[in-house]
Amino acid sequence: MSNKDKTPLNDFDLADIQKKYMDALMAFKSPESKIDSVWVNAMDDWWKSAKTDMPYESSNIFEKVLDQCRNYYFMSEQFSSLLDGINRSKNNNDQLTDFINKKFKEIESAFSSGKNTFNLNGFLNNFEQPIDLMKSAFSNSSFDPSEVFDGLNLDLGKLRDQMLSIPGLGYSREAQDKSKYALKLLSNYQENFQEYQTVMLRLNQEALELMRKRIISMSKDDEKIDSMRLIYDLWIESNEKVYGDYVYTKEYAELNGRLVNSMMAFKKQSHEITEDMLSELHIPTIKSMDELERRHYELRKQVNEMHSEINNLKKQLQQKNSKPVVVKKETKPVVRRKNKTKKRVTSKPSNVVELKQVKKKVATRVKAVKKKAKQKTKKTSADKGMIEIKF
Amino acid sequence: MNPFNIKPEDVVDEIHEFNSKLAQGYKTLADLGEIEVGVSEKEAVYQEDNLVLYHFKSRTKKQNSVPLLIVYALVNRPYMADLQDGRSMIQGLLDQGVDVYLIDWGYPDSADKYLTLDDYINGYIDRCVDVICEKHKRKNINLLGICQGGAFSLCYTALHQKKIKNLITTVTPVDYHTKDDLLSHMVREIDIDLIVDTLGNIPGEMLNATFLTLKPYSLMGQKYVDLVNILDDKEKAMNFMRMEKWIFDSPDLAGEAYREFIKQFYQQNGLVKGTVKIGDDIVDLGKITIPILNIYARDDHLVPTDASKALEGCVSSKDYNSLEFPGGHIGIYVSGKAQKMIPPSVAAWLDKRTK
Repeated sequence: MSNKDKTPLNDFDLADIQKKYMDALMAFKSPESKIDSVWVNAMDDWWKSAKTDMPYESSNIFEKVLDQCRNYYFMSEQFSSLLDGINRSKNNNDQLTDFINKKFKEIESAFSSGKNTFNLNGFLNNFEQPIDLMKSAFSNSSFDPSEVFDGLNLDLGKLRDQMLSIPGLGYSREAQDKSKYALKLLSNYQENFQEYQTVMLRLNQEALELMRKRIISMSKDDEKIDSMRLIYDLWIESNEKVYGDYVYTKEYAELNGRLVNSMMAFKKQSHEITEDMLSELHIPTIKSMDELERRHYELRKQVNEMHSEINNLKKQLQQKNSKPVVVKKETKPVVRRKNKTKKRVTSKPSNVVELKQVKKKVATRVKAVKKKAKQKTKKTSADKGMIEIKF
Repeated sequence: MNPFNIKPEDVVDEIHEFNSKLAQGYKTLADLGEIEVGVSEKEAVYQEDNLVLYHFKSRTKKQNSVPLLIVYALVNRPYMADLQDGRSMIQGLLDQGVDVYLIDWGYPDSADKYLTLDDYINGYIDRCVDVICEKHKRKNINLLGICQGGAFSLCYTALHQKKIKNLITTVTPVDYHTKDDLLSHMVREIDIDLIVDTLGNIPGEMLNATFLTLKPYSLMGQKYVDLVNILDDKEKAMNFMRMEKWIFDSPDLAGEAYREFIKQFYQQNGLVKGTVKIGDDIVDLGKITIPILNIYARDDHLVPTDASKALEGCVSSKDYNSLEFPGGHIGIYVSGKAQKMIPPSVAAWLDKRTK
């Protein structure tokens, strides 16, 4: 490393950092590998040639079937080698249990190593069903960070933390802060995602253990397993049992909550950064669309209310057409609804009587008020020596 | 004793047989053609935004004089109640002389993200009820709610009881905090505001994934290996594909309505506590006094029986009946057993109270 490659401000080795960066980048995508199985390979070869003739909808479901067939074949191969061992042991009970235990250790280690190197790619994808579902659940809304975390280099994580601790400077410091906050949220999500993956792997191992115990207990109870399909079903049942017991715990509810919340927090922040950039370019953003849609929604509500009022009025008019028509005064009987500005005209036949009574009352009251005012004016003008104006 | 009663050559035979079925299945699926769903004849009688109110054509000479409105959930599509000939709750009801209407919520788009429960219950449902009342010159109708649609029907009845003559709830959650309610357990710690503020409408795929996460190994794994065994039968394959189509045909959910529903119902258990607020009104199930028939499924993995049974203790109806179906959440509408049990029971219960 020459001195000119080093920055004068710190001890960072630029070439070393670049190498770490490239390593981390390469680790994102591990080389594809397959289950080492004759049956699976034969099936995959056949499917490559057959899939072109199948309509999309059917081919989609058939691929789901094939994914599961891979698991079924894998299990069958694992257990057929166990059967070979058992046959060689000539039904010696001690050896039998040893063979079963040994075989389960092999399967378990195959799963564990698959976790790190993806050498059981197809199998593991289905084996980690809850994680896949979680990934697909959120993948349709912008960037899906879960893909990035597969194989993330720890050194890169350290570097990230160092970078995030540098305060924002200059004119664009707000944008810098937003980006750094997004990275922190990403890091938080990464931790939760890895925790979730670890738990799921633990559950898968517990399921294998449960399956092993069940097989040993079957051997003691003289129960028979007479097909590979039964072994596959036993594996599924064991997984479902272990998973089912765990998801009812408070620990799972919290873990699931942390995972979803951290992913959403990151997505929200990344949306905000994207929106800022688009706004600068005068490109319509989700935020502006939201506002338009909100206004549209308000208008729809108002239109619905108006429709409802018009319908009410129409009904009232229809009723009125068959009964005496009463012209309404502006003062009464206009009914004003709470929080609404529309007028509703009532059409009860009793209004005819009511209106007459109201008119009579108003006339009497006006008379009385005039009389009182006259007396008062007389008195006041007399008191103050003013001129009485008649009107 | 050796529990494995399998010889190495048996393994090879089994795999060969499986492979043959797989190859045959490939042929069946390739020739299957379009998957049609929804069997009963119907006409649209009212339309608003994405909603369509359907009226099903009668299949009997004599009909119950009070029409029945079916309110489906916002999740998945309502053709599940009318999946195919012989596997249709609606067809069964029509055959029993019930005059059936159905609300199809459609596929909410981004313009619907602000729709609230008030818009759905006091808006859409209420207007559909008015349309039916107007058409039949009636003051009230019968209401049947399916799953979340049942919860909506309960809210609607509590707020507009005069318009409902009899209420039927099917696989409807009422108490959302029962011990075995996994869905409720899974959303307990989730920040719903954050999800809605981030995503707007809730993607259907996300809901689907949540439902599949309840039993991931069976629903996403074993089921497809089982499929290989029936793929040599075109009719059975078609039945499977219809269900598969329905399962993954998931509309997005209006964001605000989702926010209110998950928070008030699932997280706060407001329906039992009497704290659910729809618009300006509090939903008090105790105000419901009309006849109720509550149907639940014994093996329901989405809505536990206790979650449904809780209804009895919340309403004031003196005429309260319940019916347990020996099956699951979907089987109650599509299984052969259900066709023999559910529509005749519903029709008989309604006849007794409306004729």
